Amino acid sequence: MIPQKKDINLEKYNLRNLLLNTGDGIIIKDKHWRVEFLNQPLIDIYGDQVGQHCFEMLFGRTSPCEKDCPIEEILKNGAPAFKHIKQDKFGNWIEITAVPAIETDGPGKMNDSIIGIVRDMSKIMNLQDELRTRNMEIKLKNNELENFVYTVSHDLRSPLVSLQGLAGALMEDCYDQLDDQGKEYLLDIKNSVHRMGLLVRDLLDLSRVSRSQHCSKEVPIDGIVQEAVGQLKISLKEKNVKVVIDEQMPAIFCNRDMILLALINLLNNSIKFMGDNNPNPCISINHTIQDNYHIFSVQDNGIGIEKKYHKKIFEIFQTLNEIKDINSTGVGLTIVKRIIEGHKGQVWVESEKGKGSTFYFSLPIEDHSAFSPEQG
Amino acid sequence: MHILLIEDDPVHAKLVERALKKSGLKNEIIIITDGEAAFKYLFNQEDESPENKFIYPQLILMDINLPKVSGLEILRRIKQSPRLQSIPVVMLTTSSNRVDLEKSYEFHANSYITKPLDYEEFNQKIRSVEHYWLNINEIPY
Repeated sequence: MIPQKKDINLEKYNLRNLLLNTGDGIIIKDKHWRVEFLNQPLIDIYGDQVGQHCFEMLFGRTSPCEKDCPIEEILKNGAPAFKHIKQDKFGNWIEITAVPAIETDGPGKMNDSIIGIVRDMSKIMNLQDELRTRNMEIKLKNNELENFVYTVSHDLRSPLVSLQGLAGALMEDCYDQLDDQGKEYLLDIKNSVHRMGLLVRDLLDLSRVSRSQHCSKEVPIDGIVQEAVGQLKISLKEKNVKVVIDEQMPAIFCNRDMILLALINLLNNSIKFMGDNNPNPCISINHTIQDNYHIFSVQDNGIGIEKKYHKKIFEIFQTLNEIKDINSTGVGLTIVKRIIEGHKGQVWVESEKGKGSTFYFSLPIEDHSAFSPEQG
Repeated sequence: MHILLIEDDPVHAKLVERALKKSGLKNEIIIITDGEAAFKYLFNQEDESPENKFIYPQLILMDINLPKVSGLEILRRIKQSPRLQSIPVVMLTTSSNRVDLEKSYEFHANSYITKPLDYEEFNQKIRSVEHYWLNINEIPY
């Protein structure tokens, strides 16, 4: 439909208002880089430079920009739009979007002029810079904190060895000489030191997760599962727990030591919460594939967990109040979460009170990139 | 023949000594509590004359974090010394740091043992060390 004269005038009026009042700068230049038109925002910053070269006006250059020149790109490649960000002669970051001007007389024939939209990006770029700096600072602080936790946990081991040893020696040599209260106190000391030992061990493990080096070796999971089960054979035997392992386990790219640590913690968790009167305690470890992820599960028929705790149990130092287990530190599942998220996977639980728990973790199939603890 | 225990923590030294005695060890245990003293004890014996009455320890149990001279440095020097290098050196430490472990073997430690927190496990490990290195293993002295 051919536009009426009245419509064209209205359109011109609207476009002119848009050009003059938009917050972005508008520049029209010819193929020889000469400025043909500038709107007010650009005049306010660079002055009225109509007739001058755009490279001089924007960048203070005496010759056209060697790269990222929208005119060169558009005229050479006929690109419909060209966008790039660079610093102007005042050091401000500007984003230039350039489009070819279309000849008004011909049907869509390209003119030799280029329209440029110049947007001030300084605030965004400065914010990005600040964000980058802050991220670096946080990373440094995190590293410092991890090193601190490691050093403290490590240095605490030495007096703990002494305390455990002395309490053990007292039990051996003097237990019979103590009255009932003395015996109780001695046992309390032994248990408290034991608990502190577990806490220090878990905190050391947690800091080890964060300090772990990248690794991209393909390892068969069944070997890791067998090793984890082997390391826990005493606790499994104590509680008479049967372990069933999926025969079809894949090989995956991972940090072997970390996945072993995650499995040990998951199995330990299942053993701990198996319940005292469980007639047939059993843990099964399975694998399946779903949407480009390996999904591993550790399923037990223990006491189960209420739904409201399903997220909370992965937070550090969170133990379920109803279970007073001397061996629970509330760090184990945090270690698992940190390790799996470091492998770009996820960990979650499905459980109901009294009906056992299934802990799942996913690991990407395609991703051969390494363990990256920062993500956790 | 004696065991040389280089350990700066007096309680740890006491516990190791107790565990060794409990396992039935009759040999003398010489305890040295800092790295420099251990260094002097081992290396001021370069005199090879017949008058030199230095008695070689049958086994050295050594901590890593020692005052003045570190256990790793003493280990390195022991294993470089033709006179001492055959003495088994067992690093007995609270450190589970991988770097300490790797460095120990780089400097030719014969064994690396982390002191367990659990009293029973502690005694058991010390008993195993004593049994293997004193009853099973043979050295040229």
